[in-house]
Amino acid sequence: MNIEQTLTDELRVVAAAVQPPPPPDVAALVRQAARTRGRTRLRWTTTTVLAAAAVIAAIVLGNQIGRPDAAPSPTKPTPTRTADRLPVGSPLRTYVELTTGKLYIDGTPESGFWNDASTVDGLTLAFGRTTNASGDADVGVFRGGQRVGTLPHVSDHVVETSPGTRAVAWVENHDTTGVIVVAQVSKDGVHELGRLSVPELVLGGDNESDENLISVADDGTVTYGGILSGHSWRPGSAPKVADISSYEYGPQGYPPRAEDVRPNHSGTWGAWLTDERDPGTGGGYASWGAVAFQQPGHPETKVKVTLPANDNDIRDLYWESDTDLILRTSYGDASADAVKDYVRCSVTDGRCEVAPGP
Amino acid sequence: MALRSTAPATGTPTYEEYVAARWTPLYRTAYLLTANHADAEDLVQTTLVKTYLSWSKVAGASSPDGYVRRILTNAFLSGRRPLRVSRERLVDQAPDVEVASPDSHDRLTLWPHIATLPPRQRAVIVLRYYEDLSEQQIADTLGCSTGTVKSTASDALRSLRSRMAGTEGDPS
Repeated sequence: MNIEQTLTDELRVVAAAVQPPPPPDVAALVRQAARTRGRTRLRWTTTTVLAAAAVIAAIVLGNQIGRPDAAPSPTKPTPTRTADRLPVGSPLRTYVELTTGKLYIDGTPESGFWNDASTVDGLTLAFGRTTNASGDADVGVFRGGQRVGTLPHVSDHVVETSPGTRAVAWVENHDTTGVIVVAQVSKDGVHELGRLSVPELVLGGDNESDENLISVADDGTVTYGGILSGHSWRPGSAPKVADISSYEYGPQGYPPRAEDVRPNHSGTWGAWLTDERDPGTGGGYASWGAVAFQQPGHPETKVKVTLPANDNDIRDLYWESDTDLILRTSYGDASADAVKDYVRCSVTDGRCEVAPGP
Repeated sequence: MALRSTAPATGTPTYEEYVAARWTPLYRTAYLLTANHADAEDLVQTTLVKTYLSWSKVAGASSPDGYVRRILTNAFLSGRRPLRVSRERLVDQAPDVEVASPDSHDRLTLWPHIATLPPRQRAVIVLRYYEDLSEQQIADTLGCSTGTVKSTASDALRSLRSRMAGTEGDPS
């Protein structure tokens, strides 16, 4: 099979078979655009009015963060920090040099060829190829910097990790069914605990019966489900009906307008990008101008950090630890050099620094 | 409500004309990226709103379609994240692998696998093999280097070959 010709042919067949709905009313698009612009102006105005109070609040906050017994701030405005020039801090704990595919964990290079990696509590999951540049793609599992196993055939490269990082779970796509795989991770290796075939995992988003893997607990119990039903399953037993309503609306305890909140692994803080730039004004690239974070259910802990002008084009964020965020920043309209810096922000003191590669 | 039009008298379409002309091709590209109709419609509408907000730049660009394609692709990618270690990942929709035409469904061997590729790989595949863009054009669209485009495409093709081999070896 000429795979490239087949790709071209099939994508055209699928596209031609798609029957688009009627185009939207242009006036409705314009109204939606006007609302978007209005929200941006409101946010800007609010930020400006609160700026003076925020400086004071930030100073107060700087003295209080890390002291659980400290009295709450008497002022209500969200502390907003605008860092001046970012200092250079310690190197990234987990880093993939994309041009070479080299993975570094705590400064130590690992074998293999990698595209992405993330570490939680000493457990690193890396997506790429464990052996050589032409090998099959899989997920490498590292514990304390040592590779302890490999997860092949991970659907969409999503691996759920238990709160104590003792268990992992993922889905294998077997075309007509999805298979949930649960494994225990120790310093000695990855030991599979069980598999469960769930056809609803591969039904697709347009099907009301579609289900997804949601979480895994330290004892290997997984939770999965969708719109119609929820289930839990522990390897060695039968699946049970479970209430998954708490998962349906995403992380709770954050501002309703906060989009795509990313909780840290222990769930003690959540962070989100804010002040989204219109991709149209940035040459089509999606980016955000600031990051905000708070403890769930505690709006008084919310802090918004706007990075300095030469480093405030944020593309993405992830947690390096339960207290440190990593922001991926870029040059505004760059096409070839998208990644400019990795910036580490601490939720304990609201301060940010450039995190260099190893 | 009056619609804004910055179209000069040089044959540049108005925003309304652009939406009317490009809705179908944008929707088809969005469907190939998202693999389901609900997300495709949301994605195109989001793209068109952002396009309106920057219409003067879009209309004045050397390639308005390229500009809007960049908005669409990045809106798609910014809504979907790569590998994450998260215990809060919720109802992340699996792609719909159904195709509208039952007759063509049996002939499609790669599409079900394309629809399960990670978003960035899927974007590269769609831009390369459906939009027929060069590696440099894809790099410009995604905001990455051509080397990253090559490695992403290579990973996607390898994954597709692997999945095809697995399917062919499946007695079912």
